Amino acid sequence: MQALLLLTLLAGVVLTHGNSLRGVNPDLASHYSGHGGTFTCISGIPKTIPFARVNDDYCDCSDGSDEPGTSACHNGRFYCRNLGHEPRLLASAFVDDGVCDCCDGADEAKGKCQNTCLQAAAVRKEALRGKIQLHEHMLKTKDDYVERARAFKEELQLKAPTIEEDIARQQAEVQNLKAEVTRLEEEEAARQAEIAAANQAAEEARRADEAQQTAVQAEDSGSGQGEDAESAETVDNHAEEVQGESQGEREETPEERGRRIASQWTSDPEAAAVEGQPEEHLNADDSDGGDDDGDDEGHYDGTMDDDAEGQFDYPDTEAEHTEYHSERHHRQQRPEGSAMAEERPPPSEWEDLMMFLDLVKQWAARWMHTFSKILRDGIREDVLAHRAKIKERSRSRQQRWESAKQAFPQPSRPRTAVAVSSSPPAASAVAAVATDPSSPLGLARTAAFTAERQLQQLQKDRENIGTFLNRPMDFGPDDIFLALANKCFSSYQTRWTYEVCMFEKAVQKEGNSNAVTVGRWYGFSEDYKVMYFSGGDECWNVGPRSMTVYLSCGLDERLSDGEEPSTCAYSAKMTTPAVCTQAELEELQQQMVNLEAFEDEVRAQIMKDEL
Amino acid sequence: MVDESPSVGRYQVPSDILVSGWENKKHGFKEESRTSAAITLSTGETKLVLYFQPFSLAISVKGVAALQINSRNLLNFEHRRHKQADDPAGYWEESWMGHTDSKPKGPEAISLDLVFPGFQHVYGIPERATSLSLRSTNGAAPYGEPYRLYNLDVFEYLDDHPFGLYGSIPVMLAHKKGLTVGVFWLNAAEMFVDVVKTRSEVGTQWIAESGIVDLFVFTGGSAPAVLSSYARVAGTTALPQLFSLGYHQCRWNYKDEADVKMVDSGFDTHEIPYDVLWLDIEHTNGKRYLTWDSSLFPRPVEMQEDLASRGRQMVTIVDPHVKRDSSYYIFSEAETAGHFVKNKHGSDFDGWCWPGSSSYLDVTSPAVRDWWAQQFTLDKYKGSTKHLYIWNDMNEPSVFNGPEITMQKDNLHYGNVEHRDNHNLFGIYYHMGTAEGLKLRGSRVDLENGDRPFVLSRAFFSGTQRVGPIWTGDNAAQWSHLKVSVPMLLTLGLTGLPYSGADVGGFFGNPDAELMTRWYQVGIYYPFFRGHAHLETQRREPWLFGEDTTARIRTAIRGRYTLLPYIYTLFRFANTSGLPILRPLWYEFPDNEDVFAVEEEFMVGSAMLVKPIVAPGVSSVDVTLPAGARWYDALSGAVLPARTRSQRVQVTLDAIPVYYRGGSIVPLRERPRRSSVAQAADPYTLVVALDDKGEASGSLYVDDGRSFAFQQGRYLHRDFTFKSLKLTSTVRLESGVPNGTLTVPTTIERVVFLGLPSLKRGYKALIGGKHAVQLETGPLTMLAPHHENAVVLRKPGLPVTYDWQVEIVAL
Repeated sequence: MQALLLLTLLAGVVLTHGNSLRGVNPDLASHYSGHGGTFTCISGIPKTIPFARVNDDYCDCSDGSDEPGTSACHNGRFYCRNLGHEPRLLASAFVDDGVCDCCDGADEAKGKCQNTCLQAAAVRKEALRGKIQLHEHMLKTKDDYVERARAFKEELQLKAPTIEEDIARQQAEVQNLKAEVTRLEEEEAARQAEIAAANQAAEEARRADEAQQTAVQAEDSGSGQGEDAESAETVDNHAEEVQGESQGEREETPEERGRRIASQWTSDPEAAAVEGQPEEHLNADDSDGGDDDGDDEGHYDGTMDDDAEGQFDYPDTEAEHTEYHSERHHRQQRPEGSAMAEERPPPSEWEDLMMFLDLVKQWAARWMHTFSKILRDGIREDVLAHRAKIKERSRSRQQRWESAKQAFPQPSRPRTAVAVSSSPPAASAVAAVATDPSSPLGLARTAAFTAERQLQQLQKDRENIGTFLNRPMDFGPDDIFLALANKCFSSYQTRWTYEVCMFEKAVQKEGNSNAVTVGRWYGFSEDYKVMYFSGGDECWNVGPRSMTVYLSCGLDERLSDGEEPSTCAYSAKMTTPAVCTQAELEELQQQMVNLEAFEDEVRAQIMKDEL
Repeated sequence: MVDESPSVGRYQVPSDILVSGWENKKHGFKEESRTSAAITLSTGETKLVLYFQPFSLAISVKGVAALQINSRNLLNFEHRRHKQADDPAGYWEESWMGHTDSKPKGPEAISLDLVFPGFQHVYGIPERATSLSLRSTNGAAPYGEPYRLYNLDVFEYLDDHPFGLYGSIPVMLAHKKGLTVGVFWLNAAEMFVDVVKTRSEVGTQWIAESGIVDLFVFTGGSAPAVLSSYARVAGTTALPQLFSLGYHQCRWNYKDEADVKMVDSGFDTHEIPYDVLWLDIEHTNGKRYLTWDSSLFPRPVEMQEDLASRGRQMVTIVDPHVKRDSSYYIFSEAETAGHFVKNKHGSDFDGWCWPGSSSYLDVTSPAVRDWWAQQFTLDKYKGSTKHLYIWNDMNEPSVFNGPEITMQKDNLHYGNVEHRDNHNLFGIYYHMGTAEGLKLRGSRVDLENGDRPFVLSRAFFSGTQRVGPIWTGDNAAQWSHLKVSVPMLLTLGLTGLPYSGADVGGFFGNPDAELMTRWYQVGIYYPFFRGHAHLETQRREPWLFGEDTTARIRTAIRGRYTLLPYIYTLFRFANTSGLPILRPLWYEFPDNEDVFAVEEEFMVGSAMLVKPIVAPGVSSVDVTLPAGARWYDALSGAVLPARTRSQRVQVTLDAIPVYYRGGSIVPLRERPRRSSVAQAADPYTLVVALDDKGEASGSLYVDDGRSFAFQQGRYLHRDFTFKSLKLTSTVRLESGVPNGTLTVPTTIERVVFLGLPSLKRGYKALIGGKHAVQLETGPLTMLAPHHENAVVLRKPGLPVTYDWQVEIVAL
């Protein structure tokens, strides 16, 4: 369509000289015929003026339409035909301002600008060539999707008739293997108990010996346990001394003071330091201060990004100026791009509070006129009450998080601020005993684990069969969208994260808490360019939430532009090769053909124009 | 008043801080009478009674009491003394937060009292974030402390506090109905000013740590007269480059050349005009100023030329701390030549700032300033072009590991002067040296006419107006900071430094779309108009807040460009007469006692009144339109009644209330170009807003916008008057400046009349007595083309250069 337009346009321009009125958009040419000697403003305040006032360098129409070829109107548009390249609608402001904006130079006085359309066209041709290659690649990926979808469906069809039997069989198998593991574990436990008993007997014998000896040698010496405790205490004291030395008692050097003050302005250690020197001092002060008001700030690293939330903490109004601020203002920087959901610790009390304050702010803004003073006092109490509540909540959440961390290995990524100190993992008794995988118990465990995995796979197959085979669901032409079955895609906005799970649901999260289901899978539009999710969580005064995802051709699946255009009706965009079409490719190819076909003609025309 | 001979040495501020010439124009005092107790002298309308015992002075103007000096007997100073065993602690050494001040000369403080009889309002002594009319300093915290004048780099300054900020101007104005009086204590040491108001007077006490009492009293009677007198001593505002009155886009930091290109083209894509793109400290090679980070900015010359091809300029930051690195040419040259400030032991002072360990150029030395100026020529400053201008930050000076983030008071300057004596001059001297550098460069680029320097400074002192603009430093993205920016800038205008601005959006923190919108809507009236942001804030170029906000900010910034002819003309008056650009209401309505403390509104020149909106969610607002004038809504042209009390007007997010004052003629340029340079050939619009008598006047100043040719008369200044239905253009002649000789081909394309009585059949205009054109109905401003309710003279083709007359005749 676009190609055709361009084709006619080029042809039209090459063959005739078109309208002689400067800057007129050919689509609007009919308005500028001059019939009857008048011109009627195209939009805006209705007005008819003598035709002599068109392009007379004075703005008469509120829509700027009477001055297509001058800079007189605020809102006018100048049409550059840019022969050989693509036409452009330029803001009136850029007409006759001494800068060549149109590649054909039509926006400036004749002779002022060189015609650069062919160079621009060459660049465009190169870009077009790239686009064509990309599109070819995307179409190939699309074919792969069709194949993947077909294989997926075929596999499910193959498994479907026997799936229940297979699962039953596998369940039995798992039970047998688990029983075997239990048996072997009991055996092992018994063996361990024997060994332990023997050891204890030996130890008791040794202690008895020792006690005898000690009693003889020195009456006032403490027990073994006491000794341990005491030495531990010594170590602690020592550690404290070391800490005290490094933080409090020693006077700051001039350099340390300089760095500390510099760090007020930025958490970027590079900003105020000699390159290459580590900026340890930045964090040294952060370890204290967090506890005095019970906040848990210090326990998390920079992922609590205040700036990202549009929040910014300020000193109390009572606070002194200059140096006094410095003690309170060490912000921590988050390494760029580190805020992936799976890496984030659970939300802190701080984040909860900020969220709450946000709500308060919105609420307050609405009612400020009527209640400002009373409200402020009220809020202060509310805030305190809420703080106490979320403090409780975050404590238990903190505990859960700590134990979760112990159970799973930490993702290894650089931490810029205070490190989380975790105690060593509390391992389960049995796991501690038998770690040899080649022992009978080890082998039995592996077998049981494998069988259980197979069972899970079968159960997943059954679920897939249920979802994708037995339900009358539309997966697009050639079932192509089955290639995306069970996949989820996320879009990280400044504040909200949107996640779309194909054929299942769409959710919106703030940080990584408060997930709201904004819709369950509903289906595609007729042309498969839009996905609908409906019947999400209830929205006050509106009804269930819903989400619309607009699909467009792209290299892979990318969700973007998640937003809430109207209350509780969400939308996002997503690219996928699944909706790429041959027609689009052909259009691009046609554009290329056009560019090439007219090159010579255009060159000749430009030369003629310049003469 | 000097208590010792200069050889013993109380410090006196060098004469180059003031302008020369005024000392010789002594007005003779006439002796009126003499008794054994007092002598009465007079000059013009000022009368002065000098009492001998105890010494005091009482000054009156036209018989109205204006000022009493030492009526409280607080004139006092610490005499020079030798150390004695029983001296109180702190006499010869003081310690504060780990810093020790050696005080080799012992106590040197000096104080005086100035009482303003019959006054209720005093203004001035910037810089601080506080009210326009100064509050008493015997109030509740924080106003229990005196106002302080000591240039400091204050981290995250508060929006309502008497504490002194980055600059100091020891000038105070007092105003009452019928009389304005001004005082200027020329002293550059740390200074405290107490203000105590009673029903009958405003009493003030001034204490400086060292130096002398060198007091100027300005008794001209009105605020413009006081400011003109002050300007004769401290100088007037340098006429700025026209481009520097456009919009400046700054951020700490535009990262690299690609970022610069993206931001620049963003303005064109969104059709928002701007003139200057700024680079903060990260553009340098390791904070070595006058160098480039070659990985981020490999082709700085091409980058600047590319901006310049669209009529735009660039500004880079250059700070006074010099990285101590012998491979850095600035450091090694300055070290070899002994150009650095010395510590108390006489060796180069070593302080900490952005680059780490740094030394500070001793710019109080004329020789150091000369050397510094030479660093800005195109061959010396590698990667610079004639399109590059400079930003001086941190020149209080900021020393991260020094007392109160500045230099030790016992550091030593040129002439063995202690830092305590000239602390408040460091900033202006550094600013001066840099501006001289750009002047020197300009004189080589344009041998005939030169190039006016543009150097923004953070620190300032009396006289900074002769050097360049300042901004109010590191403010924050808060409504309260938007609010306080107005009294801060008004105060600067009242103390002779009108070319100033606050960072639009607020430096620290993240403004939301509404704050951003409201800040731009006010910011377009700041004499210096720049958007800036902290390193760790979210990006906030004007188009990043959604389409509606982009449109609002676009309209606001375009409005600034529309106003440039008017603003530039105001700058010409600032340049010739020392008049402010932004003015408090009382300045324009000096007899209206209701407006003496108003800081919620301000005047731009004498013709426009602006009501900032400084809170979120505002849908209506109280506006005070002073009596004694007619007011026209600047968007719709509607007439509003002037009232003693304020009146409520409805507002939307699209605009803040702005009014034309009847009796004014305002020149505009209404085509929304991409930069001020691109406006150069555009025609003008005149808005003729009639007063109750059906009269109006105004003027338009035009020159090349960039060189010093105007000083030779290459300028054009026209006066427009409307009287008895005749609009007349005549040449403006001013004493003390050469007559204008410039001619320009530009014309006036639109004349908009506000306040013509409505006639059924309308009006026609007779141009040059014969050519008749019918007046039409059209928009007051092209920014709001849908309000078609003004009477417009369409395309009269009046030449800007020549005399003409247009007569309006009823049809």
